[in-house]
Amino acid sequence: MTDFAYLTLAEAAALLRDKKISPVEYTEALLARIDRLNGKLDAFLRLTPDIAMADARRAEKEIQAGDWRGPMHGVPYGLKDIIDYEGLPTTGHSKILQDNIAKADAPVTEKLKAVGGVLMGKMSTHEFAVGGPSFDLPWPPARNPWNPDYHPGGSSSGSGSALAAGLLPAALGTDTGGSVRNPASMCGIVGMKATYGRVSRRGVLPLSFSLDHIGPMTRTVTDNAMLLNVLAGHDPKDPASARAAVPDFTAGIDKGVKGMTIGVIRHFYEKDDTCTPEMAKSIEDAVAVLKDLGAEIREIQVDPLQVYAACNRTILVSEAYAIHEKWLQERPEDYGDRGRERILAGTFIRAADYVNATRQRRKLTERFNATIADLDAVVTVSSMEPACRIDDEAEVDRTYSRQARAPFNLTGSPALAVPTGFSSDGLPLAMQIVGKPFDEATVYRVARAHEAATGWTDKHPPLGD
Amino acid sequence: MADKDLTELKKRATEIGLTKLTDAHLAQLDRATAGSRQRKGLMPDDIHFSDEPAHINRASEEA
Repeated sequence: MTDFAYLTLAEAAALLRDKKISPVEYTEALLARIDRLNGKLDAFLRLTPDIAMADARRAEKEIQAGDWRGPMHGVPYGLKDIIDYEGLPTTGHSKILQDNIAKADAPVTEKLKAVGGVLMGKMSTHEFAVGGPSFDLPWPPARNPWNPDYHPGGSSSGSGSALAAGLLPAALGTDTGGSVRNPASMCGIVGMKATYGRVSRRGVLPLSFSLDHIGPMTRTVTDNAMLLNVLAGHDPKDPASARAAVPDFTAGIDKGVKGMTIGVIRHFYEKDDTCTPEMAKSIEDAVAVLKDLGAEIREIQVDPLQVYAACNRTILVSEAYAIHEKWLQERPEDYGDRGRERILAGTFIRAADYVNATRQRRKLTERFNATIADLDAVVTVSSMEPACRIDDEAEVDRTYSRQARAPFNLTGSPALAVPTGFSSDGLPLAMQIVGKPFDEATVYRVARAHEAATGWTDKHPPLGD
Repeated sequence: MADKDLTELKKRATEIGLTKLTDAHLAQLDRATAGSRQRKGLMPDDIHFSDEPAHINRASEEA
């Protein structure tokens, strides 16, 4: 009997294509699992079983008729609830938009529909992708399957939680200061923030126009590349969309790292900030694996983490405040405490300070790209520590900014979070692999080599089933 | 937050249309603004007058 819960996207695609499983039985099995586990995890803000079953039946008919449309055909997926799906509410996990029905599909939704994906539901998020985890919103926050007393990371919390729990093989998140890569890191899954402009942002609630990215989240590296194959591409109606050619991100993914030169940014977590010893060791172990596989490792120095962080946050909260000002004027009480305070940070930032942050951003980006010009990829930390308890307000606030993801929203570089092991408490550890603009393929290749050598993505949380 | 500071912050907020913030919201605004000021202090002051912002409109791209 097939164990549907932890089928990878690649495995499911092959079984569906070869008619060894049906989209209907696959969808029914995951809906039953969601029914058992979502009450404990709150990964889904809204389940869409009717849409899922209709999508699955349609896919089944098409595949049976010999019209297999590719790896996502008949495969269940989830959308972070800031991404539009026509006819469904896009709430941003907020009272402000709880009745906001999407009038059209986001381009990423259109693409998933076109390839025959099966929508299982809308996933929990931090309020407007910035305020969380919060218990004062219309829906509860998602929880970490590795220990439901712990935060799954955010803001794409539900996507990370559902993937780790085997509720879905694929989900979308968004990332403005690290919100795909944080839940990926906390939940032991794989999350990609592709190059800025690689994936259309249209039809997605904005947080910060110049920093927002939409990203694929999966349990394995190859699955992630397969999902990016579906999502990537120029959108003439998204002013930030890039006209860059889109390769097959899975091509050459198993070619290994022999002969590559990979940089390591240690000062982010050894000097600028300090990660836990377990996190540092897991990254050193990963670097040693890459070296053993034939990569040359070179330690590099870039600008201090604090400078990137300050620049990212100044731009983020300025743009977020501009987006939210009208609601903050008219209905400030309808925000959760955490979301309101984080967005209010942009209220009194002077225009000159915002412009200067964007000027600083250009310099940081130019220097970063120059530093990595003769490298194939770069490795660094993602979070300074594993997940904290979700009900520990002080610890949630203390750890919120202790991360090294925001630099790559500024530079627009592709950045992938992948598991590197577990803490002594059994919580996932992770690193980032960062590449040159539009070179996601090399990032995936490095990640796949590490994954194949370590097997960290084969581990699943103990959920009592 | 001292009463005088709260009154001053409320005045500034009201001037830009944030008329419905409660005292608790104003305390949040005060903390958030202090955080933004601290972050500004972390950014280097090394920008040349001719340094351009990160995103520049390009007529050929926008057409």
